[in-house]
Amino acid sequence: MELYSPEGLRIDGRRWNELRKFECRINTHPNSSDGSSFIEQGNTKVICMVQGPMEPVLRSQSNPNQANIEISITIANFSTTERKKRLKNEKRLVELKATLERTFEQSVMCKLYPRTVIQVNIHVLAQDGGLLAGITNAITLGLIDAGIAMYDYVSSISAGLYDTTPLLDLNTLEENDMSTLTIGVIGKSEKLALLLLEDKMPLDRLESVLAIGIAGGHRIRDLMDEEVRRHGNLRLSKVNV
Amino acid sequence: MIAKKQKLSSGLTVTSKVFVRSRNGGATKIVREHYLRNDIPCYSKLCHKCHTILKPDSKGELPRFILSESPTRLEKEGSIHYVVVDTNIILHCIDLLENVDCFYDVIIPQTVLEEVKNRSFPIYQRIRSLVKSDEKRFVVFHNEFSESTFIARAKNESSNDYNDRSIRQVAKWYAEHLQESNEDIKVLFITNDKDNLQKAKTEGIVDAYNLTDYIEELPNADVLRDLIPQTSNNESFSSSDANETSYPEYYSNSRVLGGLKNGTLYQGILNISSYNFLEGTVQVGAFKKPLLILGTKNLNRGFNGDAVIVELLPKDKWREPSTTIIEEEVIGADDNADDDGDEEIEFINDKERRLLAQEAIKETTAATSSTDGAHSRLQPTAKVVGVSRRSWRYYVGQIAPTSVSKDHDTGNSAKSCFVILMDKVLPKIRIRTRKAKELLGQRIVVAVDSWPSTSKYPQGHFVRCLGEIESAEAETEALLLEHDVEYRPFSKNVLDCLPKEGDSWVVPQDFETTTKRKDLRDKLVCSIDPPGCVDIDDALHAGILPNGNYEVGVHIADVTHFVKPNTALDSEGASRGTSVYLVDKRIDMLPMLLGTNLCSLKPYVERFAFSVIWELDEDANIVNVQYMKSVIKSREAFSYEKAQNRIDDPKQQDELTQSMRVLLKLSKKLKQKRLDAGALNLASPEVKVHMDSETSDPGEVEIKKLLETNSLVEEFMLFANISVARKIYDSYPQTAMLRRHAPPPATNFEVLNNMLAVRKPSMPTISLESSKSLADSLDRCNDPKDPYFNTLLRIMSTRCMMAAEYFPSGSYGYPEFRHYGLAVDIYTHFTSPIRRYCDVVAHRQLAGAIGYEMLDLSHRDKSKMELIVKNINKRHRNAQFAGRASIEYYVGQVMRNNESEQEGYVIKCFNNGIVVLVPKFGVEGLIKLELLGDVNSAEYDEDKFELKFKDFNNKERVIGVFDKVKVDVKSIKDEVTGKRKAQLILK
Amino acid sequence: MILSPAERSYLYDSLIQKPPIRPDSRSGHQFRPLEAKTAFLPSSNGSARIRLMDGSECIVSVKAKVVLKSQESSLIECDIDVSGNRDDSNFVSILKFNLTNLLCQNFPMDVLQLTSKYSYKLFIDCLVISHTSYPLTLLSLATYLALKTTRLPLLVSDVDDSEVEEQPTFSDDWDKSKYLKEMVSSNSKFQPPIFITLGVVGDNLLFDPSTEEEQVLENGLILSWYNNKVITPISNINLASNSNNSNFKGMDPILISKSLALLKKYCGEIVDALDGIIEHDDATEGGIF
Repeated sequence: MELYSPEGLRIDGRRWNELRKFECRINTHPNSSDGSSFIEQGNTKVICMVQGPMEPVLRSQSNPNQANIEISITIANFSTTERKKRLKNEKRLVELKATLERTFEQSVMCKLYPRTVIQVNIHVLAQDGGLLAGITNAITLGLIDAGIAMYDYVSSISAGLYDTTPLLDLNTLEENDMSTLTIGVIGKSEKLALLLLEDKMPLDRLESVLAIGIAGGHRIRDLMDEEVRRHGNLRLSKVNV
Repeated sequence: MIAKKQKLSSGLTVTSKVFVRSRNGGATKIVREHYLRNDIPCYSKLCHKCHTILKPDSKGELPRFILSESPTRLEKEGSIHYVVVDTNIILHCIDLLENVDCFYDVIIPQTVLEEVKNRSFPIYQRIRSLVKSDEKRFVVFHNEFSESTFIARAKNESSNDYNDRSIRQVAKWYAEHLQESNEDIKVLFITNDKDNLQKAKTEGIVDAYNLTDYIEELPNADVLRDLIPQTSNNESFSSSDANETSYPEYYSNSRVLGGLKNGTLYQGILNISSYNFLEGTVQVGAFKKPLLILGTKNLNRGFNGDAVIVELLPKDKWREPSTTIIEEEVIGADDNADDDGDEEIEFINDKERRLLAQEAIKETTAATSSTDGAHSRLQPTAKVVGVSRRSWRYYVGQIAPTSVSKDHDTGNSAKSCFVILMDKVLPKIRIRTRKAKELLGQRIVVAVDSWPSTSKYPQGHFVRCLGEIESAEAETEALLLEHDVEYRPFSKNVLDCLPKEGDSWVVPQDFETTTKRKDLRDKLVCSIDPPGCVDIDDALHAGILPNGNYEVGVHIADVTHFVKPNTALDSEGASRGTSVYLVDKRIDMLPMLLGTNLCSLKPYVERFAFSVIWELDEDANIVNVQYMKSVIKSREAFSYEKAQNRIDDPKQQDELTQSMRVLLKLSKKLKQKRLDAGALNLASPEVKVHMDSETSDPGEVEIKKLLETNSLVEEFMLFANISVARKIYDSYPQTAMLRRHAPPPATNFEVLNNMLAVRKPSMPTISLESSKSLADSLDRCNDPKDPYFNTLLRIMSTRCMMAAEYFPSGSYGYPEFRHYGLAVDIYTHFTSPIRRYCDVVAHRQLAGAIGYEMLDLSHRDKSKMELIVKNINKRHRNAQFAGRASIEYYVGQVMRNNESEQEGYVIKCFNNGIVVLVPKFGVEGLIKLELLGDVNSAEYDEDKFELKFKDFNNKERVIGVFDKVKVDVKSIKDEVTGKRKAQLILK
Repeated sequence: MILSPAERSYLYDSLIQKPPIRPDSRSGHQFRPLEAKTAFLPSSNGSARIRLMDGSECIVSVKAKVVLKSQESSLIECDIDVSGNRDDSNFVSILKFNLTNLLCQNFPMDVLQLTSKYSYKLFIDCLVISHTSYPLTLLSLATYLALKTTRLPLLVSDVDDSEVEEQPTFSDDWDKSKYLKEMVSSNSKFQPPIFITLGVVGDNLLFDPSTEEEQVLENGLILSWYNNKVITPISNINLASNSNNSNFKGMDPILISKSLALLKKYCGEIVDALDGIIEHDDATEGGIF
């Protein structure tokens, strides 16, 4: 199949700068968590549940100056086309977890919650590219739902480079064939809370890839904001009655 | 699966494709997102609407409209038309689609393109280049992504039916869509599938045609009619052709996959013996020895070069490789193409059976006479049960005169006849033509369409005529085609990439300020090449430094200054891979303007160069090396001979001559070092054909002679290549373009050593431990009575060697980089960028390595480098074969006028013939037993490599390998293949 | 939530009444209301999710793989992941053992048959996202739904490959795939086994005890139901796995036969209710939340 045809269409029919279907819901697990969300980015599906801020189980986990963010990621065995048993301590997962924790320690106003822990549980139900981006967006929404103070949205998207054409929001087939850059954009700014490049990309092309990434991130932010407002209005209407 | 559609805020509609992928026996459910859009234009210049919906690509460019506003008119209907084709039309009639006389303004639905890609990648690439070139106005319409043409798969609809329906939908939509802008346009749907045609009619697509009917609608139908491929219309072969024989059916795909997995079936490339067309071998990983495939039934329609699936035969059918020569013309040349059915009910015909029986007799006698030796040579045999990839391409041949029956002059209807191919390991091909009579005696190009199991011979169609047999033009074109050499003139796209100044381009005077080039115009640079050389890609200089060391520079034409990556020029060069040198013709890799002018390091003018400059000590050790892009001005262009004379002339004491003497001195030291390290000096019977400059008729044949200056240039080129290889490997450990030469496997030398031991017991055996020991042992193999014997042995050793190959450094470990023949640890090609693409890549990588400019992505990407390398390896090999074939042809022409008696050497012995090499002409030829003497008296002793027979004077003669013999050489034309070759008659 | 001694005593006293007074006012044989969704994982052959009102949630996926029968010890493999518990913990191991055992012994394996050498193997992966009470019933009901909605690709190559090895090939059309229930022999119904947990308080038997009830039970029973009857094994267990339950004690064997009768009476309804969920579940309906 042609990953990017000379006619300018990608393998799933999108053009170079188009997002996949992005759907999100917050407050999906009101009874089992303080904040929760579910996002679908194309066929990637992620559940996020947030507990806290709460007192840590172990003293050693508490930091007198700020909250600790603990992220645990479960990637379901059935999330990929070929079923694969995954171990919790897989290197890739540990790295992913560290990347995410660092991203959100900078984006959440941790100083407001000293001596607490914020526990984030991620369940990845289906993967079709953009795993890190999907998880990041799910956590952002989960934290917002839990009412945890943040500086702004962290909206994340992946982008790649096919020959000289930057492509936005890669699916698995595309991700397998090109190096992928995932970024997390802060709000409507051009600041990045997250930047992860797998494999390598020529420096002279990086700018164009970053540019569509940031534009894509802004669109994701708007879609998430719409959902947060929708849910907020729903809650508000119940209070008023 | 009917998936729900969902409209997104971005204007796209998303749905999903759900299907089962069964690969490697698995059954995986696959779900993919599928986006539908409404901004895919129809690409027609007639259309008024699509211009409003365009979306730009990442460079801000909008799609261009290709389909003409005034396409060709149909003969009868008179209306202008576009064409929509289905998959089988493309797969079977790609030649016709590429033909310049028909098929303009063609719409290829994405569905079709994808099916084509899955079925045949080469044809997909040809379609893609048709679309790219614009000349024939082909467009790809992504129907599956367009809201107006996407259709959901119906319940219980097979994927074929669904695809057909999607394609019809495209034709329908186009017709309706264009109707709104222009009432005169028709969109024709072309398919040869009756069912599909029928459905099209019922669905209201009025303009559905099969190919034959469509061609009839065209004004130039007469020219085109014969070019319609055979498989594309059902009634093409009369029923008498069917059921003339029956090959075993191929195994089903699932059985093949199962068998490959459990190890009962094997896959490999079929290699038909060039001495016996009924014998093929397949090398598979599981066995040390190749599997033998004997007889047409076991070969089961396999072509030489096909990737086939084979199954072993029971052990009692295992055989030794045959020692008999069987050529196809012996057996079936006089068959009539239309009625060979009757006697073919039994599978083997009598002639085949006799030959096979003869084989069997030999087999049994050999087994009884020699007690144990015979069994060790038994080779497992196998039969072909499937073909995974056909090697079918264009073939060149001629119509077998005997297959054109007498009643061919009656009527204008097409008749079957056979085409005998130039490549004698391939079967003849049955074609249908109305012009059989006219084509007799012509070299023609044919394509193979199919080989049904009921047909004794493959079926094909006529493509075009090259000209009369034995005319130089036809033969040259034939051999270029046979070796897949692209020889068409460069396209406009390519030529547009050249500097606009053309021949008047000069080195800009401000280069010192605008580029990082070094000014080397003061160096005493000169070039040494064969006489008459116009593409000078290397030049040299030398001087003595104040510290007593030498400064030596090699300057290579800076081709990459003109050939920038990702241009049409670059991709053309990459696909040609190398220039091809024929006796009377040169097929350039890059356009003339670059090769013979702008890049050529001509004397007395300034040129851009890529220079390697060493500081060498007295013993030619490297003290320092520098690489730079530069500007040089060559002082003189010498021929080897002129340079040699100037060096040898003691009266010449000018600076330039002095520096050449320094070069010569150093080059001898370099050569000695190389030889000490074990570099091989192998030989091949290289000859040169002198052309009469008036008539351009070949005059005489001469063995190339070598001067000291030849080796001077060669040494420094090797030296530069090695230095560059180290540098680019250092900078690009994964993707550096390198060249390796693997040591020969011991089995290759087994037979040769056996022959030596038996025939020349006094000679030491050839040792393979290292290239050094091989070189030494070859040196020791001297026959004082016959100085040529050593050369003969070198020629035969060369044939046992592996071929050197290009590779990106990431594909092998460092120890395997070794170049066995040159005895160096690392090597590349850097010094001839005008005529080799490898050197172009090496230039770019070196420029990147020294920080002159950024290296293009494609040369930093391992998988892209693999693709480049695969292609240039193939092109390099083909160019060599084509060059040899060209020499062979001309040698044949020369001998036509010079019949003579010559000395020859026996290099191979069979039970019904011998192969003799004649050093004078560099030709080798087979002398069959019938031409040696009494066939029945012949006795072949396999262990001694000897053939004993009574000659025509009833004298007993014994001839064995390495024997020096006297032969009469003359050239005869083979009436069947139309090939002229050397005929040798033993004296 | 861990109950205080006073709460425990109050709850115990109300449960031992005749009939028992359950805190959520269920009758003894009533299940907690559940909400289910099936066939929502695109890349699985079958899937289901069950949620209870207290936030307990379980997702089950069934994936099929073609295997050589000779190389597999079992054609069904279960894997359970309980959020917050280690994979090698006792809690998870016991759940996994129970479910694997139940399915391996009570499943019409012939529906998985492909050829004489090849067969499908089912990988059943359960993900317990959150739970309060003992999750075995939750797991087993979700598994039931997932299996009922499992579809297997249609084999198009030869069924008999005992003589000549053939690699199985399948129709690429997902619409041609078959539900497991379409592959069982015509006179029997495809109905995977399920687990029912019962709580024992006095001689009251309580279906589907909640986490609060679990903390005061005198004993817990795990029974299984397959093909319209109760099957062995029947085991007892302390359902309150993470709190010490001082009420836990031995049990009157008569209660076992009583439980059998109860299951006979109500399990048919439970299974029908589950089948009803599948029927009314529209697979093409949007997201799962």
